[in-house]
Amino acid sequence: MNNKLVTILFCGLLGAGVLAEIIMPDKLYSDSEKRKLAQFPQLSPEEIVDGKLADSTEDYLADQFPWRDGWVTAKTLTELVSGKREYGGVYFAQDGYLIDKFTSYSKKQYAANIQSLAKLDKNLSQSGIPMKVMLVPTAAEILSDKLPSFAPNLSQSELLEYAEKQGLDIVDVSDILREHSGEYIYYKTDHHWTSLGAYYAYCAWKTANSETAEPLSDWIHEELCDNFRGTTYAKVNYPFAPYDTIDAYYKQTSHTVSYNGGAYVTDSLYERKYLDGSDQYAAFLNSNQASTVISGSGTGKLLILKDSYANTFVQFTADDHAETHLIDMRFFKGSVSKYAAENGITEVLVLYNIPNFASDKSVSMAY
Amino acid sequence: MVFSSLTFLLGFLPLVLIVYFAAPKSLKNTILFIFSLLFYAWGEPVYVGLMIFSTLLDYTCGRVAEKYRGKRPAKAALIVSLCANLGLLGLFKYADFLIGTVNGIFGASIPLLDLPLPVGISFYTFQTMSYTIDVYRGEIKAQKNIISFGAYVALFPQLIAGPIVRYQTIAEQIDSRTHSVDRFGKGVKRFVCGLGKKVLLANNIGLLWSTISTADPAALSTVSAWLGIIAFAFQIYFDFSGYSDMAIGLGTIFGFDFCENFNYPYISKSVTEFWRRWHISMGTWFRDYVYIPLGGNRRGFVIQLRNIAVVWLLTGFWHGASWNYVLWGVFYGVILIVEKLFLLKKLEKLPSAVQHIYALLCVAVGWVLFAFENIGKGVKFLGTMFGVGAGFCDDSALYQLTSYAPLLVICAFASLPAAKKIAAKIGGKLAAKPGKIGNALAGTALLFGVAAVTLLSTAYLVSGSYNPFLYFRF
Repeated sequence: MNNKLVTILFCGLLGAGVLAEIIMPDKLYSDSEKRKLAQFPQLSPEEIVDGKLADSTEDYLADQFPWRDGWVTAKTLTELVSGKREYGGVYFAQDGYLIDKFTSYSKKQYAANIQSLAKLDKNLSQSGIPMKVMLVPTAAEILSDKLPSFAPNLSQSELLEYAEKQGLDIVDVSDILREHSGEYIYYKTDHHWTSLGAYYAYCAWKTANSETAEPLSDWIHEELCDNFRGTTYAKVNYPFAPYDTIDAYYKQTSHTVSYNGGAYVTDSLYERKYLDGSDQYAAFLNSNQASTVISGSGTGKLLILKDSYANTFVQFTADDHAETHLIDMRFFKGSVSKYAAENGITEVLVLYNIPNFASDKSVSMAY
Repeated sequence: MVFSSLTFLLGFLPLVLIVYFAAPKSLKNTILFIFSLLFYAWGEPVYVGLMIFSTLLDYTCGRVAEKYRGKRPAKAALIVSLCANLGLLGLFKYADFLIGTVNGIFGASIPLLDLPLPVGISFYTFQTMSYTIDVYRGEIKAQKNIISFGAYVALFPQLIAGPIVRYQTIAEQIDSRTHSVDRFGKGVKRFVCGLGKKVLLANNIGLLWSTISTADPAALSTVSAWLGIIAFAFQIYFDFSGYSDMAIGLGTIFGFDFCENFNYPYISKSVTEFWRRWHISMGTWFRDYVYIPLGGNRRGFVIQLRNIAVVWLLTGFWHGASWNYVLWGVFYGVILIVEKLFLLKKLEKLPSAVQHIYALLCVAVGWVLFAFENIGKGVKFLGTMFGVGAGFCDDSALYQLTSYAPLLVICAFASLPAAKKIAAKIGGKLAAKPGKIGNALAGTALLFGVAAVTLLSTAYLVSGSYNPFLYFRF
């Protein structure tokens, strides 16, 4: 009797699975994982002979599995129940923080990146342009006391020390971020710092330039959204994760912003169309563009060589300069020093978060 | 294809079940044969040729060996089969190892063949060889139907990772076997049990091992090293025995009774006992086709020791073409000989806790030799385990310990017979309740268990990119 029931149950499960897999339409993109999903395998005869069919079919079935997100969540919850305090390279830290692990990096790549910055510095100094470097520690470093007990965590300050030893002019933001570690300076569900975190870094930047930053109250504050769940959330798909708030700070509501040599020109630092989607952080300066020019009410021209950490930072510097240029080395092709000379740049800032800088291969192309 | 994949569970399995059970009896072997070839070809289309070659060859050798039993052609057929099977194994599994060794010793630079190892070749060559040997010895009748023989050789449930199903154990079932809902249900239970062992236990505890084995050896603490090798011991046991369970379960569904392959190896009180409980089908194969033909224990003690040494050298080598496997085999050969000489008798007088600790310690050391293809690394790891040049404990060890404690406890429990006994007891107690309620309760509990393991395994397969299969390449 029991065996009969087991047979019915198992065949029922298989049948339901097959039916759901056939009936449910295939999706192109996963919002929660922020990536394209594998599609029905279309292989050439050669690829089939090479045995590619097995992997591509498995990827297809897993990616297009009905209610995939639900299954991933089920796994995450099971892992947490069984004592795990990390998932997919993300720590479940205190106070609802989901923090990217930083436990290893390629020393070779990091050294190469630092070397190429040193070279760039030399090239720029020939045109009389000063260059500063701001390598920002991530939440794993600044909020390390929130990590699970005994959790392995590599010291990011060691990387900073190394950079300093190579003769780069470092703007150290670690101390000021640490001072304010009790405030909302990192998103709970994303690997970025918040606009508030960027403001404190701006204070350090002003100090490094022998100036004093105005108090935050001098900027107009606007809450862009309060339902943000970012990249670390996407990695764990944990339904009980908190929602983050994205704040904007600006002195003038409009700035002329020109992307990629005028391919797209707009009047705001914020691309608000992203606020309705699932990647709200992209609202800052239209996600990641190869080159961006912002007009402001100050003097001089600042060039920032950057990753997405700079997108919130620029809110504060925009009106210190007549123009702020941003270059993302992942998409920009060409010589940075030549760009600086041609555009009359007066100072350069390199702004990356440390783990990203250590692993980003495109940095070594900067010269 | 592997069982623990969505392609198998939601593609291959439903299809083969429908076609197989819808087909008339006379076509069932043909269907099994075709689907088995498809199963094999899925990941390695080219090597299906090898399997068909092996099938045709041993079919012919078997027929010849039977027709001319006791005469010269029979012997010739046997020799052809042995040479062809061992030749295949040698070419695909050991040639590069041999070339590398020759190059190393003589400073030669013979180019490597770089042939990918055909999946399951260690298993099916052993099966087809044993078939021809058994026919030659007159222990079984040769299979006259080439399709039936092909269905045996390629039989997908046991194709990739065993058990090594000898023809004589299922000879009758190949030609006539029974199917029933009862068998089907029994098979499902066994299959799901194996699926859970593989996907939920082996893969997850394997993560702990891969973290520790890839960490900087210089920074490893003694506690981490022990955690690591315990994790590996669980991983390889649940991976391999889970796969055997799935094979046996599928066999049951399709009307075959395969031999058992594992019998709670980690409860052994000696290494001798461990090897009676671990990978049983391989042990009996070597016993019946190497140890006993060499004279076994019937030709004096010295010959017996030699035979043990030969068997264990081969056992080690069978597991992989690398010196560490040979060393692993030698390690067990030596311990087994020492146990035979005097140790077993001494052990029996000790408290059973000591016997267990002794056996597990030997097994743990064995797994280190097995796990590191680089013998130097393995020896260094052993050093760390026994406190040579390593700290006792550190934060990362504590982190791993606290993160994996529940899973380690579950794994330990699942490798004891107690798990099965308790499940049976609960089932029995529920069923003993008066009236129909008892049966209903027991049935519900069982169904809940089967559904939970199936669904949870699916969740892990859907979201898990981490799904390595350890015994794939043996």
